[in-house]
Amino acid sequence: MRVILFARLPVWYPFRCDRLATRLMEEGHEVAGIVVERAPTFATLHDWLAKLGPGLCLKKGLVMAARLLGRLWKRPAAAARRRPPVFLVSSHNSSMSVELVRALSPDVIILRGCGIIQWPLLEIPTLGTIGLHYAALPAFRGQDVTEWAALLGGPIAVSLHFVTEGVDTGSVLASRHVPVEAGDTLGRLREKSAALAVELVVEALAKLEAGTAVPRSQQAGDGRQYFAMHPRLKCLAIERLRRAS
Amino acid sequence: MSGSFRQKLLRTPLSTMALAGGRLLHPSILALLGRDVLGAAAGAGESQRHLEATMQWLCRAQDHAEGGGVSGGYSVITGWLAPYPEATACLIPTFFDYAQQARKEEFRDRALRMADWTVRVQMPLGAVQAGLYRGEGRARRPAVFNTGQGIAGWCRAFAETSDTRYLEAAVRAGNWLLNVQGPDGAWHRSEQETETGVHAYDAKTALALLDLFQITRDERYRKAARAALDWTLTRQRDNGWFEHNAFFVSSDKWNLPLTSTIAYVLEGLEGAWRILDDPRYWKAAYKTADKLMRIFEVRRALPGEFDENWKSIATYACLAGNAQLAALWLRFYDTSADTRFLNAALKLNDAVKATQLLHAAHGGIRGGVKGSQPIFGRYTRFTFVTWGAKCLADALMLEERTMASFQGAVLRDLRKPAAADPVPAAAAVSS
Repeated sequence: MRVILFARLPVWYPFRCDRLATRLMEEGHEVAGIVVERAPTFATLHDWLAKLGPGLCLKKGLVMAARLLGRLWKRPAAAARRRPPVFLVSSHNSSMSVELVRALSPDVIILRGCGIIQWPLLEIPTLGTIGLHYAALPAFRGQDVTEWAALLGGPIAVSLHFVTEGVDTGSVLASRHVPVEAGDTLGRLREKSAALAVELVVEALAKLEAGTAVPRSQQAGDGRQYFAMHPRLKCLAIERLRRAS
Repeated sequence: MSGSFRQKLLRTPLSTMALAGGRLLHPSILALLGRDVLGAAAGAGESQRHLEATMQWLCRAQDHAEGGGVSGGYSVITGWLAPYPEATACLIPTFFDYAQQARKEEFRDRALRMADWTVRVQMPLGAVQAGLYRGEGRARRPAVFNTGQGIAGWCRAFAETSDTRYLEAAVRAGNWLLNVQGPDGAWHRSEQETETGVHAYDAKTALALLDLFQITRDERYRKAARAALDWTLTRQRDNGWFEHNAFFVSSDKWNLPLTSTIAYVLEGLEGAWRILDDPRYWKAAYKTADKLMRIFEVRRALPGEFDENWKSIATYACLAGNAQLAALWLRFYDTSADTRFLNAALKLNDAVKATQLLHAAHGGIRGGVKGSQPIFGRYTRFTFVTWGAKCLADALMLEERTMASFQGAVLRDLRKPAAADPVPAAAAVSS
C-alpha cells in the first residue's frame, strides 16, 4: 500500500528513525513520503517536555541517538536502509502541499501529529486519511485527550479514525485500551499509546488492503470535544493516576 | 486615537494635563504602559495571592472615597475617581463573601459601611443614580440597571444583619423599578450613561427583583422579573447572541455588546433559573455560555466585544467581562458537570490574573483590574475599574470553592456523571 505520513516537527528531527515509517516499510508498505510542516524547535521541545516530562524526554533522546549511532555502526536490514523521502512544506493545507500529495498519489494518508487538514487534501488518497487519536472515541475528542481520560476516569486508549471535516468525528477504524500499570505517568501512557498506535496502524492497513475493515461510524453529538487542559487539572490527572496505579 | 477621546483630551484643562503628566511619570505606571505597549504578559500566580491583592485594592478604593462608598476606579490620567453607587452596591455581597471565606471581620465591617453609604445616597424616588456620586448638589439621574444592583446589595446586607433599613431601601428601589417597567417587561428609558434605551442586560435587574421577592414574598416583584426575563429571551438569536445589549449606538463608543454586558444577561438568566426553576432560562444562558467557551478555546483569547455573528475585530479584552464569564462557566460546570467549563474558567481567570501587577509600588494599580487589556483598549481606557476587581474577586473565590470540591471528587473517584439531560433540576443545585 502506498502511504504518506503527515507530521509537524522541527527540521532536525531524525525522520530516518521514525518508528511508524520504519514499521510500515518493514511490513512491505511503500512510504511515498513524509510531508513535514516545519515546527519551531523551542515550542516543540516545550510541548514534548510538558507531555512526556523531562525524564522520558531525555530517555527518548538517548534512545534515538543510540539508534542513529547503531545504524552507522552496523549494516541495517534492507527494509530499514530505505529512507522515506521527506518533503518540507510551509503548511499542510498550502497549494504546494496539495500538488505534492496529488503527485505522490497515495492510497492512504496517515496523520501523526499535525493541525487540521482541509478538504482538498482529504479527497486525494484513494482509501482515505487516517488520524491517530490517543483516547477512546467518541467519548474523548479534541486535545490533551490522554490527560482528560486520566482526569475523568475514562479508559486510556488509542483509536484510529478516518479524518473528516469535523474534529475527530470520522468513522473509527480501530480502538484498543492501553494497559495502565503501577508507576505509569501521563508521559509513560503517551509513550505506550504511541507504540500501540503503530501496531494498530499496521493492523488497520492490512485490513484495508484485504477489504475486511469495518469502520464504526460516530453519531453527531456523541462524546465531547475537549480542549487544552489547564495545568491545575493536569496536576490532578497526574495525582489521580498515581493513586489509581 | 478615536474622535471622542481626542475631543475629550482637547477639552481637558492644562492643570489636569500637568497632573496627569506627573502621574504618568510614576515608575510603576511607566512600567505598566510599557508592558501593555509591548504586549508583554506576566504569568498568572496562585489565585489566593491575586484574590488578596484584589481585595486590598478594593479596600484602597473605599478608603479613597468618603463615607463608606467605593471609588469608581483609578485612572492613570485623573487619579482616583469619585465614589460609584452602583459599584459600591455590587461590592456588598463580594465583601461579605470574602469576610466569610478569609475569616476577616474587617471586610464585613467594610461591607456594612458600603451598605450604609448606598442607602444614604439612594435617590428620593427610590432609584440608584447613574454614574459617579459627586455630592447632593449635583444633578443626578436614576438608572434601572444600577437600581437593580442596589437591590441585590441591600438584600444581601439585610440577609446578613436583619437590619430593616436595608430592606426598606430595597423595597423603595423595587417599587421604582415596577413603576417604570414597560408593558412588554423591558425597561425603556433614556439614561445618562448610555445612548441605547432598552437593554437585554437588565436580565440582571430582573434577578435583583427575584432576590427581593425571595425576602418579601411579594408576587409583584416575581411577576415583573418574569416579564423582564421573558422579554430577554425574545432578544436571543438562534446563534445565542443577544440584541439590545450595547451601551451606545455611535461607532466611536462601545456600540457592540461587550463580554461584560453579555455576561450580565447570562448571570440574570442563570440566576433566575436557580430561583424559578424554569429550564428556558438555563437553556438560553447555556447556549450563549457554551458558544463563548468554544470561541475562547479556539482563539485562546476572548475579544472585548462581539457582533451579531460572533465576529470581533476588537484588539482588546474587557477584563471585567472575562472575570464574569469565568465565574459563569464555573456555575455551568456546577450544574452541567461538564468539566470543559471548569477548564475554560481556570484559563480565563489566569488571563485576567496575568494582567494584574502584584508588586507595583503604586497603590492605585497594585492588585487592580484594568477596564481593557491593553490599558489603552476601547473600554474604560486608562482606568483600573472597581467592578472589574469585584468580578475577579468573585470569580477567584468561586474558583477556589469549585476546585476544592472537584479535587475531592476526583481523588475520591466520585466524579459527577456527565449529565444525560443538559437541563438539570434547579433544586438539585446549590445556589
